Amino acid sequence: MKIVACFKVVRDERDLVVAPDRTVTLDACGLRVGDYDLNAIEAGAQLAADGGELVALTVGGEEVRDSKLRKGVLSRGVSGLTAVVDPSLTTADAGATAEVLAAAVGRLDGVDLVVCGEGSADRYAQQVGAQVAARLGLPYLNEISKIEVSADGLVVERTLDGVVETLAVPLPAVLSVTSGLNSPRIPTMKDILGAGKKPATDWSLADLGVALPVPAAAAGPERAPESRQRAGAVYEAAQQQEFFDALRRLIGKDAK
Amino acid sequence: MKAKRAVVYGESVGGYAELCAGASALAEEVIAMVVGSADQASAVAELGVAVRLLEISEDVWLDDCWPALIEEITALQPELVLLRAGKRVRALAGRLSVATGVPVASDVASLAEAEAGFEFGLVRYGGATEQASVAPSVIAIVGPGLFAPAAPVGGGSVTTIDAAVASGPIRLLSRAPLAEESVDLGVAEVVVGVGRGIGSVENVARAAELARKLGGELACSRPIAEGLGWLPKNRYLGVSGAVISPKVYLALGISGQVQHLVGVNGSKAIVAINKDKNAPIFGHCDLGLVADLEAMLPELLDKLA
Ligand SMILES: Cc1cc2nc3c(=O)[nH]c(=O)nc-3n(C[C@H](O)[C@H](O)[C@H](O)COP(=O)(O)OP(=O)(O)OC[C@H]3O[C@@H](n4cnc5c(N)ncnc54)[C@H](O)[C@@H]3O)c2cc1C
Ligand SMILES: Nc1ncnc2c1ncn2[C@@H]1O[C@H](COP(=O)(O)O)[C@@H](O)[C@H]1O
Repeated sequence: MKIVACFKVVRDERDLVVAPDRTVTLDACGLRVGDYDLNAIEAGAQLAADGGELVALTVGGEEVRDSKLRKGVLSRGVSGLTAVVDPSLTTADAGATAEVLAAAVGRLDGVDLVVCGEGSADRYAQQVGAQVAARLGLPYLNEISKIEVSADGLVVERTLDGVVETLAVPLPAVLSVTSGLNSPRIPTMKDILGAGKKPATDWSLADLGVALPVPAAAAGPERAPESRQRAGAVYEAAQQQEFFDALRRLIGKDAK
Repeated sequence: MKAKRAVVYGESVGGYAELCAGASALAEEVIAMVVGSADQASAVAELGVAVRLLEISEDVWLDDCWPALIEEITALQPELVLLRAGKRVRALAGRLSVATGVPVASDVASLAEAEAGFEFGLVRYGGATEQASVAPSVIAIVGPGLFAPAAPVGGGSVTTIDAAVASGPIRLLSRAPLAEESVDLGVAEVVVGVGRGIGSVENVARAAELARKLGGELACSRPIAEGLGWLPKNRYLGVSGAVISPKVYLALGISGQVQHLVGVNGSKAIVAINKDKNAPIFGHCDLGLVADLEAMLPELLDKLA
């Protein structure tokens, strides 16, 4: 089975710098792969484990060339990594991202299964998987909480609001998996050493014959939300008596 | 300028009152799509809107109805589509977006008319930043609470969509209701939230006892419900979980990342216990204690209960 797992490289918002006017600078933030995309890679790796091939696929700006990050992905049971790189793709919306991903999947040729994460760590639109499938004209399911290989495709479990569906999916297909489907592996030293030998391929938009994506909506600047100032009385363990007194006052319990 | 036409769709009848209210404020004409029974359609028509019903029996798999529904919506050429947030609806939205070329705005924080269409607010990184966008036309996924529900005024209409629903390549083998105990975290005055730092299922049980003794509810961070499965999913708080505003929120072993805090920022007081004095939660609390929960949980039960 030839599998593609889609992952997005995002800024680590924990390093976010907020200016007094609430505008934010993301450039100084580190890079990482979205947590939920690791579940997609893991799902692909498990399916590919007996004789399959797994390509990790990302589209983005220069940030997707980061070698440390690539090594991290390549140490997660994948056969190789493919990136579509263009500066415009850093801020691409779901529609444009899906257009480019669909073209890349087409170019990879002979793909049986595309796995997406539940949502990207920055947009969390939960849209790209559905839109890749629609563009490729492939069957699609989201919220996949279990995958089994069957004689003529896959049998999957889909956990929705209030109901669990069991479905037979013919291949090729596109699936978006839940974060509860699996626990992403922690790469071993051997995995990490092996990662350096795995192939990584970069394509440009021109390589795929895709035009520069035109944003479907005009987006304004990113700002930090207004945050509320709190008292912030933090006690060390040695002062736990003070802490307990204050807490009892808050919850309206008299001192014991 | 008000848009000409809005289409609304929700998986269950419950969400339409809010969607219809929002849509009527933004568009001259509101059409509600209902996929289900004639009874459901007339319940929605009570809101005073024109309903188009795709009538199906209960054994039909809802996803098989998307092609017919998308064809109907596309033909209406609405400037605005409002979809009630739900897991199944996200798959529909993506397909509709590719069919129409109209972008999807997932979980809009705000939605208003703008000179050139609509302005909508989205959060990024689960709440760390927010961004406003403008588009001439949009498919907005709307969660509960964005619009105040419309009161039923009657006078709506129901017309039936004349389309055949055929099964696609995916086959539904079986379905089972998801048994989840229902919980209303919103009404509790005290909520005890446990994060990964709680350490064990035994400690979760201790935290539950604490919550009970305080007359409150037990909640958690997402990894406790989604990865570890120590508590049901309807008990996690945050941008993708429940949003609460109790008198006191007591965070035990929660690091305090923005995606979680978004769910508890409305609390009157936030109290945190964490063994790491540099945990972000200490920058967002009213009262904090740097301590190991392993030792502190028995103390908590003893001193507070
Ligand atoms: C798009 C998106 C949406 C998300 N939505 C949500 C959401 O809705 N809700 C949510 O909660 N998360 C959400 N998350 C996940 C979120 O980013 C964090 O990963 C999560 O909230 C962290 O949970 P935690 O605090 O329990 O665990 P951790 O971050 O691992 O923190 C554990 C804490 O426990 C402390 N600790 C460890 N041992 C002890 C001990 N013995 N005693 C005391 N303290 C101890 C540690 O110091 C640490 O601070 C989302 C993420 C993304 C990307
Ligand atoms: N730029 C990208 N490159 C590769 N995959 C992506 C990209 N953006 C989103 N995805 C995939 O699509 C899923 C859903 O993303 P989103 O619709 O942004 O929430 C993610 O979990 C990834 O698997």
